[in-house]
Amino acid sequence: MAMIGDFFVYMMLALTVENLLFTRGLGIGKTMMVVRKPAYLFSFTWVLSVTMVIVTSLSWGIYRLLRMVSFLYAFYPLIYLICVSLVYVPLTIYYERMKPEQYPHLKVVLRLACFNTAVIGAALISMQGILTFIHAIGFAVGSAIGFSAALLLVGEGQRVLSLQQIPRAFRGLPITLLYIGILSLAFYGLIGHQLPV
Amino acid sequence: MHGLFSKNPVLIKGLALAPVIVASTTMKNALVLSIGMAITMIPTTLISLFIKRRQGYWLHILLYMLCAALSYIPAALLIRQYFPTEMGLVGIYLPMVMVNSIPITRAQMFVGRRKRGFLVVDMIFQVLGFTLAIFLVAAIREFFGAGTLFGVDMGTGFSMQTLLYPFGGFFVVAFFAALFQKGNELFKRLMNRLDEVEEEVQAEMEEFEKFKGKEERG
Repeated sequence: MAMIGDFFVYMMLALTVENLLFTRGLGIGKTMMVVRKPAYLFSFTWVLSVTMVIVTSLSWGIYRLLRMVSFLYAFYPLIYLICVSLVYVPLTIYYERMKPEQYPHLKVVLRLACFNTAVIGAALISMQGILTFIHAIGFAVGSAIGFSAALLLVGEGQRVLSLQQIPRAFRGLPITLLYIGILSLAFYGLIGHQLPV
Repeated sequence: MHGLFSKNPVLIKGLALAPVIVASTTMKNALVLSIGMAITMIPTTLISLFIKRRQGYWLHILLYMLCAALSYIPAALLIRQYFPTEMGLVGIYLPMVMVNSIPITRAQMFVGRRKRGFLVVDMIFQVLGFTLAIFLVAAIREFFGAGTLFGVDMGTGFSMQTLLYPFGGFFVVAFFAALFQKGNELFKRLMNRLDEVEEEVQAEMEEFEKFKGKEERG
């Protein structure tokens, strides 16, 4: 029962106060690419969610096995690559062989969703040695849901901003970053912090 | 040279934003991230020249990522040796230079075409563009946020600590992105105006030659 409670606590933490996009700035680049193409949104979010949960659990396990190795920090990206390949390669081969009509659309989505700073960020956080397995899984599930919700929020915001009269220099990337920054400020206040005086 | 200004990977294309927005709170952090980016990306680009286009798209991506992950190992050991404090401050954002989209997007443009050698020059300027962007952002955030530059107190007497938080990073990068976009637009207008002036001068020269020819005949 305590484990289920811990799982939900970490899930809610990752979804809100530790949101990967708004509090850690992870996955910004891919967010910008995906929100410009709404056709990718659904497939991107489910692939990202599955990848994040699997990669985080595997990274946590590998870290626990190898944590006594010195210079392990230099091998974090390689560990991440091994874990993400276990998701990316089977999915790619499955769609390439079994559903070739969907593959041209999905090959870009698979790359964007699997090789993403949000996924590597969640994996690296799980490799800090402070989370138990249940905490890591709860964090991964919450991060996936939180990132998907953040993506929808940014997409909707961009849609509304595109209808406004914005100075030419601020159109596109600058105004979207300002919008995400304001949401990030709101999350900062939601955590309970106050701005320094 | 487009990678420096007109096609800056961070401020125009919106690539590799996470380390620039969150981790660039001091110039030393910016230096560490730039070194990590350079040591990881340039060998990856050199090796990608030998990857044939007819191999599967997914295999391309995995090979690029493998090169980047292997290049990261000496980068991390070097940075830990010379900048241990900054490596701790930068935290999870240093390994992230490995998964940025810059080498994949640029390599897709060049692989399989005759101008493969330009990929190396292009990547050097993309890395310089990233370095320029992160140093500009870090300079503003450190100077106005902490009143220091490279850890040296500038004696400003004030500090806006809000610039050191992630939302401060979003605002600073947004304004620099707008500045670069405006700069691009002004440069394009200037080049168009120069082209128009050149065409006018050419037309006048041709008129003058015709007039001179008529005078000589008459």
